Amino acid sequence: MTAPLVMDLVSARQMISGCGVEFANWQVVLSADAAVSAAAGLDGPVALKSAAPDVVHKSDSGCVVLGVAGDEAVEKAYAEVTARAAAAGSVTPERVLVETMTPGLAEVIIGLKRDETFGAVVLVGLGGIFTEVLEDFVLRLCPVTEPEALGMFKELRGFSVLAGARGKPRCDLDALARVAVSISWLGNDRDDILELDLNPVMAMEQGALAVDARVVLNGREKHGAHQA
Amino acid sequence: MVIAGVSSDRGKWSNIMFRRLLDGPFDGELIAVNPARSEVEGQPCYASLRDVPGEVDYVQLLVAREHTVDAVRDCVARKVPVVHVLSSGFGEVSGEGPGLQSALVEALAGGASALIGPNSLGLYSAGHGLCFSDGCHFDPGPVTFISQSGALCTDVLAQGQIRGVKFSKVLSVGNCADLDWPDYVRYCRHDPETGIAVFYIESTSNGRALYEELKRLARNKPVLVLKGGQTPAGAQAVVSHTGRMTGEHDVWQAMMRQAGVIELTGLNDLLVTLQAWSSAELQPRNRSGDGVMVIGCGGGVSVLISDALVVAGLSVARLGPGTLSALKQLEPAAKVFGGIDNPIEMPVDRLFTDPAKLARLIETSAADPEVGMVLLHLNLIAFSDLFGDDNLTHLEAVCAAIRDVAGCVAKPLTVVLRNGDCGQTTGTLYRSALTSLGSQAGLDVFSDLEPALAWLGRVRTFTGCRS
Repeated sequence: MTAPLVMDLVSARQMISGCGVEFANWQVVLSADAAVSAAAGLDGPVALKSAAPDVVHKSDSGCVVLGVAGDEAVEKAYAEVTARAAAAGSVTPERVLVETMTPGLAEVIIGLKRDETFGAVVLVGLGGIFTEVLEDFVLRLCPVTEPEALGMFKELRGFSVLAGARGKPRCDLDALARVAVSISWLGNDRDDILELDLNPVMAMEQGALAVDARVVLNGREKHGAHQA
Repeated sequence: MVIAGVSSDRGKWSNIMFRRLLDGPFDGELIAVNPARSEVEGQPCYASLRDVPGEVDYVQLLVAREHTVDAVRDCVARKVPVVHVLSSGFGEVSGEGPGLQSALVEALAGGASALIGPNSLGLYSAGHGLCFSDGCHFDPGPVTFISQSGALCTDVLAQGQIRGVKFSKVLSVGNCADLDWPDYVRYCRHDPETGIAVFYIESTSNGRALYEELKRLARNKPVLVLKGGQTPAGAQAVVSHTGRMTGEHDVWQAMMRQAGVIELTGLNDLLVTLQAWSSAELQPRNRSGDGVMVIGCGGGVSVLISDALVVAGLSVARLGPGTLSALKQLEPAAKVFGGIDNPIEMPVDRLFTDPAKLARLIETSAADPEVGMVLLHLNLIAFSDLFGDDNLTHLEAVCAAIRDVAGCVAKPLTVVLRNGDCGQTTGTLYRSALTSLGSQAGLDVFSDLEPALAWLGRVRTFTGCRS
């Protein structure tokens, strides 16, 4: 029997990194002390996110704390995230991801879904309100070439946000396009991936960094897998 | 060609179809099959397909659905290349239907026959003189329309022909049990008679192959797709933003865009787009500007047209000084009405009293290299008020002048006849003008501004694609 299941956060990141997509620096820890030393090893403020595999909607359950700086603040944030994960019913609430906060010029979503008729489809959109409220996104069947991926970003109604609106610098569009190409090939090659979100991907003057990934697999139901 | 299941009852569809072919221009050998008859409509009738002498190229099955599987087996045994199943009651209904449809496909196994349908209306082929309805003509043209709806086949053929669109083939594909969309799209690529392909698609069992074939076809020929129907969403995880935001139709639209085909928004858009393509095809390839020349009466209407052109991404052509002075010579009194420019906007009595002068105004402005298309608009109420009892005679003189000038300007020309639905007089004027102008190549008539503007946009798409 098959059932959609959410891929573990660490495995998902490793799989996507393996396709050449860069993530902000991250580490998974199991204690407050480990969180503090992980944060010390990363540049600038950090984000703490529950890495408990049984917490599916971690933002919704308050299991994410952003912009944490200093040992005390990291300890406090660790306590907060683990408490909320436990409250959300997790059996491994101590598993927490510590990640460098990445200031981007703009937030982008790059995703995959599997369509019944056409198979894997890649999506690009502007992050946050642009995608969800304004429905500003562009789809293509997988895989896409780099020029096609660039064309997808240019087709967005809010493209000027990426192209350097109001005196802001222009985002590295080639880097964004390369992420979309890599994701589209992943969708093309792995037909067990039902859905995938890289949300957000931070668009920067040079390069692009994914800071969150969610993958839904069409997998065999088994012990330890968390049904979507 | 064999028609299997021909009834001797003149009220039955199969008999009507058979008589239509007998009486029509179909010049091939036509053979009837019906186990209960030895003769139908004065023609010999065979009990079974197995008894038909000679080679059989094409079979249309109109037999009752419970006999279709056996009939298909006979076709396979006879190595008939194409079996076209018009019978219905298969995958489109519940109960035994889907099972019978699978049995049809199984009956093809190991043979060399391909099956169109079931649940198909039939085939129009200009070259063969075949049609599924009365009242059409067989002047061949470049348009091939393939549709998953039989009703739309009738609509598009009739509505298209009355607007001067000429078809090569119109095929109703029904349930696509065997031959499916990728096959039909590939056919259009290889068919030299197809110059433009139009598809009405509801669903396919092989989306990827359809995409690949559409992409290949669109590299060679213009392809128009109208997507109808939304199949229910399958079991989806919908945990992700990507899954939540995107529906089935978004994916179809993305596919069409990626394949390079033109997505149609409805039946009207389909017809307008076909008209625009036919008109755009007539233009010389070294044409320069794509501005619109607007000529008509009614200031507010001209202003609104100019505005709408801008909104549609089109432009009012800027006429060169040579054109302007030539137009002034034609109409010396024009400065009384604010000067000659584009739009040329004059009261109905000045613009339509002298048809020869109207033709020269159109011809002179269309000769400007900045002008790519011409829109002429006429308020039928003002026309009917002005010409009173001479309305129809005078309108015919105006139409004759427009036909002649359309034939020589070699630029797409659209005539908008407004208010044709306001009473009997304007209605009669409208129908008379439509009949008079409708079949003129390069000229398309509309009852309203909206489709005319859509037409202008599509003309520009096609001329733009070409250059």
